[in-house]
Parts: sequence; structure tokens; C-alpha cells
Amino acid sequence: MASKQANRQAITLKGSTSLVTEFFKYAVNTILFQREVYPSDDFHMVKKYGQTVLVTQDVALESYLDKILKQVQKWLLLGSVTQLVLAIISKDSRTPLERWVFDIKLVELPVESGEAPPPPKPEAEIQSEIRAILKQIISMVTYLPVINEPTVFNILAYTSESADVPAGEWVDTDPLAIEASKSQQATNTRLAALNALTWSVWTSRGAGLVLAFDGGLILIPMLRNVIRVVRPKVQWLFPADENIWFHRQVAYSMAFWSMVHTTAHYVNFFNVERTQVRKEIALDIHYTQAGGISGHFMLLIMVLMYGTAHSKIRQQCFEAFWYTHHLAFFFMIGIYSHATGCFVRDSTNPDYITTFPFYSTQHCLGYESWRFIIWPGILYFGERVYREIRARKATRLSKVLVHPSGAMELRIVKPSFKYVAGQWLFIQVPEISKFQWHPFTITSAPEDPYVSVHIRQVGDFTRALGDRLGAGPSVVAAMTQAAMKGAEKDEKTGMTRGDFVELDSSNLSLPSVRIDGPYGAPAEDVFNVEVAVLIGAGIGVTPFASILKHIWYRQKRGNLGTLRRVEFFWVCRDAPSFGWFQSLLQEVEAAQADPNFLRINIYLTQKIGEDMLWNIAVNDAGAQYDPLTLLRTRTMFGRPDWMTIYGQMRQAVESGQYIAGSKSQLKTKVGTYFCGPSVLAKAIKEATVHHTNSNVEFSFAKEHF
Amino acid sequence: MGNLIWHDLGRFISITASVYAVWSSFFGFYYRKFFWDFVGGTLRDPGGIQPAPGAAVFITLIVKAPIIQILAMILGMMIVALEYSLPLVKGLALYRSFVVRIVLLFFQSFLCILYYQGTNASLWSLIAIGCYVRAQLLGEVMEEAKENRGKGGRA
Repeated sequence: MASKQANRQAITLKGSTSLVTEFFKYAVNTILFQREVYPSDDFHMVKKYGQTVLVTQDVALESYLDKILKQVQKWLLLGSVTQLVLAIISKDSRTPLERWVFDIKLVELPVESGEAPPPPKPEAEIQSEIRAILKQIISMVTYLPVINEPTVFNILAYTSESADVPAGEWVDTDPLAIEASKSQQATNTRLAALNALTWSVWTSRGAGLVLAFDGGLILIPMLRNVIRVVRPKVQWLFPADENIWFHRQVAYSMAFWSMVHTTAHYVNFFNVERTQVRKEIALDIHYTQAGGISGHFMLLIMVLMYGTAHSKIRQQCFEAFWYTHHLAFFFMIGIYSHATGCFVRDSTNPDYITTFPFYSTQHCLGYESWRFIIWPGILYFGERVYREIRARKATRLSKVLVHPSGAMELRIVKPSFKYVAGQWLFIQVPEISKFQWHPFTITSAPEDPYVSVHIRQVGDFTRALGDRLGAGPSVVAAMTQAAMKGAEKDEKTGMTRGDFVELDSSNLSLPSVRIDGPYGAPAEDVFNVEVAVLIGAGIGVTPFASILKHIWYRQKRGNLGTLRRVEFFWVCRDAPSFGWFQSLLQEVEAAQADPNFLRINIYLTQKIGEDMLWNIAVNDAGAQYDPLTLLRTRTMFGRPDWMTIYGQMRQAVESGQYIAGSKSQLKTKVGTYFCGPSVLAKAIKEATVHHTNSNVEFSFAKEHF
Repeated sequence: MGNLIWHDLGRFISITASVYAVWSSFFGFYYRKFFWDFVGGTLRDPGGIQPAPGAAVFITLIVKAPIIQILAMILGMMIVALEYSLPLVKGLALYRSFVVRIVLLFFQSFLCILYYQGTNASLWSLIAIGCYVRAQLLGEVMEEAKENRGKGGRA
């Protein structure tokens, strides 16, 4: 008895020699049909083993197979065959494409030895085994590449040396092995011409595939609206707020692989010209064909985009970055059309047609990756259109307030604009610039009937806006000077420091504005902790305006969630920038009924001059309000020591003094929300980690507003 | 926000162009080809373009011996050293001169356009020249390098 094993995978078949031979016949037929070695019309259906099997009707083939099978059966009986191989060979190049291997293992001596045969296996079991193998052959085919060329087949038998081989029918041959490590690239005969270029073509194709992937990824982190929607759901999986970081990493990868890809192509085209596999010169490919032209254009665009996207340039002149980055539109067009006409093709000339995508893909052997990577591009384009439509919805600038520190507050009414505390928006003033959108943090709470942003006149756009609104530098300078002098009350204007001035808009029409947003992270998490520590450093304080207001509104409604106390820290380098924020803080501080709910801690880290020192000393002593901030809270000088602050907070919480009635609680959650430079973030995070214990849990979140 | 400082942008583009020049000249050693050989050249199959006899001098300097490529590589490295910049260049008055950069970049642009791989480096060098010319016209001044005087901005 012999057993057969098909395809190295562990389906085995046990049966008598005749059964095995018969099975081999059907297996060969099935493979020949499935792999289209012979035209499918040559086969007819036969019911066998409880399954429909296709058997050839070609007479020549039939008799050839019969002859082989007879010999195989003879060998089987003698036990001299160990393996049968059906090899499919390319007709033209004679290279083997596939090998179907059947191992034969002798379980016992052949029947002739005179011993009593063991009881035959039940027919049904054998049949089901055969069915399983035939099914496996058929299902295997789906994993195999389609063979597009004429093929022939050989049947190889591995016999023992002694086996008697009928001359004329069987010849010695090499194993027709497929060289294992070679990939599609190396074995695909349609790529033969290109493969003559060897490593450079493999490098350029590989790098090209990476670039296509990068090209698909680069826009995904820029789908701001999509990210805003999915952010709460995916935040646990990856830091969705770090989208710009991801965008940059993809860009770095792109720069590197462009270098590899371009270098390889310079070698490719050099060799194409030298060997004339295509009748053209290198410069034709570089400067007259779609791939070359778009490639060189994309490189140029990349130089300009990367150059102006450097943080140095971005800070100097945001517009240079902003406008140049819109070259991305042409870059994406370039990347999608880079393979037009297919450099990787089996024909000499590109096969152009008149319908989309304007070249026939019949001769195209490239990856045609644009079919996959165009979707983020379409999505992004759609998002930009949507943003445009949304921005056009009715928006009215209702009020402009000028704070003495020089900050303007724009109050905008846009009923369709829904946001949560801590988010930001883009603002556009078409009268000043038709295309520019500038990001600002929302400073109003969602409960306010308007959306407000505070704008300091520091850049060219904001200065122009100030001029347009009648709050030009001269007006503001006068007010700031008055404020800086510490004039508590100016008799002539009746203005108190810290108050804002509403601009008279009767003789000055307010310009139309458009807003786009909101974007960024909501600060709703604040209401899930008992104690919220809000830390703003420098300009990073802006989002907390909205959050503090929002907390205040919810406090009024008595809807604070688990929140019991709020510690607000503001670390600021210089006194003048206390500016507008102080008026808001004053408002919030004044409104506090419970003095223990909100505590404001302000740190001034600037080196204090002698004049200022005396000024503070004179004004501070015995005054009801702090001379710098006009808050009841005193300003502290120097940098905060986070380790001590958190240590004290933990002690206070543990001793039960900090939160009234919190003793029964198992664990107090203290959430820190920070916005500012990363050096500070690191120090604070260390403090939170250090002080977390079984009673108090400190968490840390760096917010990206 | 504010105004673009052109020599800062010029520096980035100039570094990119010069690194490209070094890399392209390196490949130019192995795949030697005169960029302008198609002018009056005849196409041979196989063999590629046979340049016109008038281009013999370039063939000598680029194909027979990679003289131009070597020069371009040295020049590219010099510009990178100047722009990046090498510590020992930083203190020199040369380091703060836009004219020196314009001249060096011009030569780089010229050398790179001669061989096959260098065209982009040449084009980008021209763009960098444009930035520096604009910087010069606007009267921008390169800040003197800080000599370990502590970190800037902190009193």
C-alpha cells in the first residue's frame, strides 16, 4: 500500500496502488484545467469521488497520460518511486513556473510479498480524503498568480536507481526547481527588459512603493474635521492630537525615499539610453514624459515646501509657509499622475487612450498605486470644500472690545457654530486678506451667546486688523501706556485699569468676518476628576479662558460633575502680558461665592528690576488687590516648584482638609491639564508621577489647543 | 508672523541644493554623462548618444575623467560647510557675506548643469541665489554668531 501526500501540506491519502494511480490521474487533470495549461473547452465533467471532476478529452493528451500512469503504477507496485512532480513550464522561456509535488511513502511491502493485505479502508473514508485533496488543489489556485503566457507541463518521477525505466518514454532531467528567493519581480517574464537594468530598477520600484504609501498617508493627519470627530473614540489607541507630528514624520520619510527613488531612476534612464531597451535617450524620459516631468516638479515643490515649513521660517512669516504649502495641490496631482503611461510596462511605448485614466493598463505592470492613495486626497479636497461652505454660513462681527493691554476682543455671532470649551478656530477677514486664515483660541464659553477671540496686535495681519477696526497701534499704545503707568483712575476718560473699551461702531462699519472650526480637543475631561489643576504657561493660557468661563457657568447651574476644586496656575514671563486675561480672571474671581472652589496662582518668572521691585513693594503693602494683576490673589515671583506644590496638595488631600467631606472616598483623582512648552510639561509630569499613591491619583494631560 | 527673512530661506535651499550636488556628483563618478550631449549628438543602438565632436572637451572632463564631478563635489562640500556651518567658519567675516555665497552657488550651478545627474542641484542653486540676492537688496544682515555667550533670550 502506498500513501500520497499532496503539496507538503498535511492532507494525506491512504489507499491501494490502483486507487493512488487513479487519483493521480484526476489530480493532474484538475491541475491542468485549473492552471489553464490546456484550454478549458478540452475538458468534460465526470462524477468521481462524489465530486465533479474535469477530465481532458484531448486524445493525444489522454493517451500520453495513460502511458505515464501505467508506468507510475508499475513503479508503485515495485515501490521504486518516491515522489511525483507535475511541473508547469513557460513555453517560451522554458523556465519552470510551478511545481506540484506528490510525495509517495511506502507503508508496507507491496501485495506481491505474499503477506495478507490489511483490511482495506472503508471506501467512504478514502473518497472523502480524495475530495479534500482535490478541493485543496482548487482552493490553492486562488492564491496563485494568473499565468498569462502559454505553458506546457512535465511530469517528473523520482525513482530509485534500480527502477527500470522504459527508454524513449522517460528521460533524465533536472528537477525544474523554481529558485526560491526570486520574487515576482525577478520571475515575471514581462519584466525581462526592465530587469536587465538590475538593482537600480528594483530600488526605484521599491522606493516608489514606499513613496506611494507615504503619499497616501501624508494628507490623513490633515483631515482636521475627521480627526475632531473620531478623536474621542481613538484617543486611547494613538495620540490623535499629535497629528502635525505624524504629518512631519511622513514628510521626512518622503524626503528620504524620494532621494533613493530619484537616484535609482537617474541610473535607470542612463542605462536605458546606453542599452537602448527602449529607443529613447535619458533626457527624453526625464523631460518629455509624464513620469519624468511630474517627478522633477514634485522635487522642486518639495524643496520649496520643506524650506518654508521650517519652524524658523514659519515663525518669521507664516504667510510664506501658508501659501507655499498650498503647492501641495500640485504635488498631489503630480503624485497621482506620476505613473501615467507606466514606466513599468511590457511594451516599448506607453499605451495612451482617450478615456480616463488616459492610458491603457493592459501593458502596465506597475503598482498603479494611485488607485489606492487618491482617496485621502479626495477626502481632503472634500473637507476643504466643506470648510469653505461652512465658513460662508451667516457670520456677523457684533462687537469689538479693546482691552488696555492692547488685546482686541472680537465678539462674533454665528448661530451654526457649535463648540466646546478649549477649542480653537480659524478666522478670516476678507477685507484684509482674501485667502488667509489665522488660528485663534476661542475665549468664550459655549454658554455665551457669541464666539469671542482675543487678538494681540503682534503680527502684520493682526496689526492690519487693528487698523481696520479703529483700534490701531496709536489708540492701543495710548491705552497701554496709561495702563502701564499704573493709573488707577483717569479722570478724563473715567477708565479704570483692567476695564475694556467698547469701540464705537456707529461711524465705522465693522468688516465681515468668516470663521472656520472648531478644531482641537475638548476639555470635558475636567469634570471627571475631583480636583482640576489647570496650568498655563505664557500664551498657553488662552484656552483656559474658555475653560474657566465654562466651569463658572456650570458652577452657576450646579452641574459640576465630580469636580470639587480648581487650581489655576499661570506661569508668565513678563508683567505686561497679564493684559487682557486679567480682566477675565477678575470677573471669574469676583463671581466666586465659595472662596475654596477656585484658587488662582500667578507666577511671574521675569527678573525684576529695581524700579519695579520698589513699585511693587510700595503698592502691594496693605492693598486689597495685587498691584500687578488687580486680583485678590497675590502674584508670586520666580518659578514654581512643582514637586513641593504637588507634595503639599497630596498632604492636604490625604489629611482631608483639602476637599470637604472627601474622607470616605477611596481615591481622589487630581487631573492636571497643561498647555505650554514641553520642558515645563516634563517637569510637571515628573511631579505628578512622583506623588501618585494609593490615596491620591495624579494624572497629567498635555493639551494641544 | 512678520516679514520673511530671505537669507534664512536661502540658507535652507542652498543646503539642500549643495547636498544634492555632492550626492549627484558621487553618482556622476560611476555613471558619467555629459548633460548637453544631445546637442548635435547621434543616437547609437546600443550605446546611447554619441556626442558631437565639438563637445570633445566636456567628454574629456566628464566622461573620460570625472573632473567636473570632483570639482562639483568639493564645491558642494564647501558650501555645506559654510552654510551649516562648520564651527571654524562661523567666526569669520566670510560667513556673514551673502556675496560669497552668491558667487559660490553660481559656480556650483554652472558645474552641476554640465553633467547628467546635476540638473536639479543646478536649478535649486539658482533659486538659492535668488533668495540671497533678494536678501542683499533688502539690506538684510547676517547676525554675528554667538560665541558661547549662553543661550539667547535668557537674561
